[in-house]
Amino acid sequence: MKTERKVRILIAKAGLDAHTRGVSILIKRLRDAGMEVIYTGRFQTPETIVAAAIQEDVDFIFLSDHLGSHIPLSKKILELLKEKGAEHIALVVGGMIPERDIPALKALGVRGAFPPHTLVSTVIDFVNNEMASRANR
Amino acid sequence: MKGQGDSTSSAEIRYTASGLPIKAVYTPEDIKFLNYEKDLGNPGEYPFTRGAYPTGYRDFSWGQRPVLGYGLPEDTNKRIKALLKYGMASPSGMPSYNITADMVTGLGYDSDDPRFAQWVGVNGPPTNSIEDLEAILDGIPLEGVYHGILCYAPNWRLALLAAIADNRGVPRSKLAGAVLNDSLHSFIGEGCHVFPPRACLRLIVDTLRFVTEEMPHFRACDVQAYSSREAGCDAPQEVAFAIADMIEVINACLNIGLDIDDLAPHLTFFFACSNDFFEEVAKFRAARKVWAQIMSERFKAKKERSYRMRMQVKTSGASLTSQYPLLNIVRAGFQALAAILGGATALNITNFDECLGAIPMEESGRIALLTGKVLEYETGIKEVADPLGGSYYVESLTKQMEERIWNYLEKIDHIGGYIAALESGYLHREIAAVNTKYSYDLDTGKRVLIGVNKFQPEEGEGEYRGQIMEHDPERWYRIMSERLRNLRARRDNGRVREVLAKLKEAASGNGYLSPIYIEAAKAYCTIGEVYGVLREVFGEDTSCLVPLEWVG
Repeated sequence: MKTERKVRILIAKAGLDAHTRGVSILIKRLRDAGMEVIYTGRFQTPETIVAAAIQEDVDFIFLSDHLGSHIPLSKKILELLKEKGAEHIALVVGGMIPERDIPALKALGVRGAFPPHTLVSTVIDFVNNEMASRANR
Repeated sequence: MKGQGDSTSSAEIRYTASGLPIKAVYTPEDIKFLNYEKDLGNPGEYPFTRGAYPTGYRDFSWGQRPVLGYGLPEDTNKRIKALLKYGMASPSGMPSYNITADMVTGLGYDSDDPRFAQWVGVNGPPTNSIEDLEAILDGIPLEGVYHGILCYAPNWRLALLAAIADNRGVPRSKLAGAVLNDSLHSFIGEGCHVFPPRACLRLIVDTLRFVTEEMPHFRACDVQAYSSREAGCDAPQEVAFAIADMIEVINACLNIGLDIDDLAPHLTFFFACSNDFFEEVAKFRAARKVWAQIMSERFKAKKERSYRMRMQVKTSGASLTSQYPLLNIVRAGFQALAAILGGATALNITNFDECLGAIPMEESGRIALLTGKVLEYETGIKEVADPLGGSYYVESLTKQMEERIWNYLEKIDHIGGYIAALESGYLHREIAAVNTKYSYDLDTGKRVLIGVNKFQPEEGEGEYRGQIMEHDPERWYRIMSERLRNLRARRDNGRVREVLAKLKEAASGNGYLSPIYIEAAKAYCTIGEVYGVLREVFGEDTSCLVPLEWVG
């Protein structure tokens, strides 16, 4: 039997956003679902987030934002991933993400964007589907 | 027996949102334990289970002080004035406002700090110097208004207000209002603390000393149980952790020689009111009782007013959904009703559009205020104090809630108090357990949120089609930076350096800081400069709010 590598996810908070309820739920739930979770802590910058993602060899960056900075932060993170040749790392955003911003985020290259009160099962299904489609690629 | 399966299914034990077991029917048997004098007392009498005041809401309204603030100081000023017309008032009927802060100045940075340009004016007005608070309060009298100013230790905005009063010749003792001054709860709540816990405690005590000596009508420790609840606490945790926090603060105040009865009028609690109606009613009743007992038995307060827990209640922001956002008006209405039936001493109803990631509209602020007025003027509920008192169910639930609260308080005492419980990870672990369960319960449908996991909208059906008002931090950053440049060029920078040096010396020793903040305010120091000195002396709390190992 070959041991499968677990999905690795970096959960990140940037700037001055201090809301961590969602983060605390996700850490536990994603682990319960058999995933490896790394958490950056608060007050990070796009630079520190991307550096951590590369160093930890993750499949996803989950950016949690509640201060309306999801678009500029996503833009910067995606630029840096490209610059560092780490475009295989998918960016996913959650938190206070208004529905009206989701098309703009997707257009930037954000793989998944989840508005408030998204069920965690929806997020887990999303990760599993993404991984399955990567394996088929 | 045949058929029994059916009858047990609806007679089974079920659970409230916080996991208190409940039955289908309650009878006199369930309140046999009740001793009226000891457990309830009349409204306004010890142990205050039935309410803080003898005639309920006949003589005091619950007031209404919705939190507001965004953009530039003058934007917030306009919003305050617009909503004052719709009855923003304190429970004693004074016109009142209740302002937030943006995270930049909230965490003690200046608005022209390029690292944080993106957050200037977001969710609250920037308040760097005395000039910003003057602009926020332009045209609003200092006396006869109840000032609600969100600020954490070291309470820079309180110093600014006192300095404005001094400059205008208004005695500080005439000012009424409240500041949060509760950075210790922020560690399990909204994360707006800057300094390590022991330093926070010192700063909190410093401000309490100041108001006790100089501002008798200012509340200056409003434990933010609201934010810990929103961050995932259940109802008994919300109350117990808040009381444990307050016990820590009181002990520290007594250590510097303050008197418990002088201190008590300055202490208040800020709770949330969430969806489980009767559980919330029971929570407020139980909280008052536990507090009365702690003040009388543990702290040996002598004056009866010291036993009376005053609670500002805000309906739950976390319960608002962006699916069918207009439903949030209904949710807030029910939550407000529960808060009133539970005896909240002040009420703050959420804006239905707080969950849309934009600035709440003036209209939603108006609807929130008027929701309270519908309850006040149309329903008749304010005529009789504690109308649910004596209910078999409510009294039984209140008792259960009280037991859970005591249980937590005993555990925290055993660990060594609130700060010890915080530093050991106990509080975070307890909250995380509740939080995780909540998320599983939403997934499985055991807990229901309409629009989220039941009656979900079809594509394009549940969205809000009304107006929204986007934040504009780029512009706000530009303007605030310009103003700060201007201020630094105009003021006496020698004086600024002198005051900051004095602050540093006092903070490095055991100095009394509040009067120095006021000197700094008058010298046109900025928040970044004042916090900068304190950061140097106390260091910053570098722990992330949810260390991985505490989540489980």
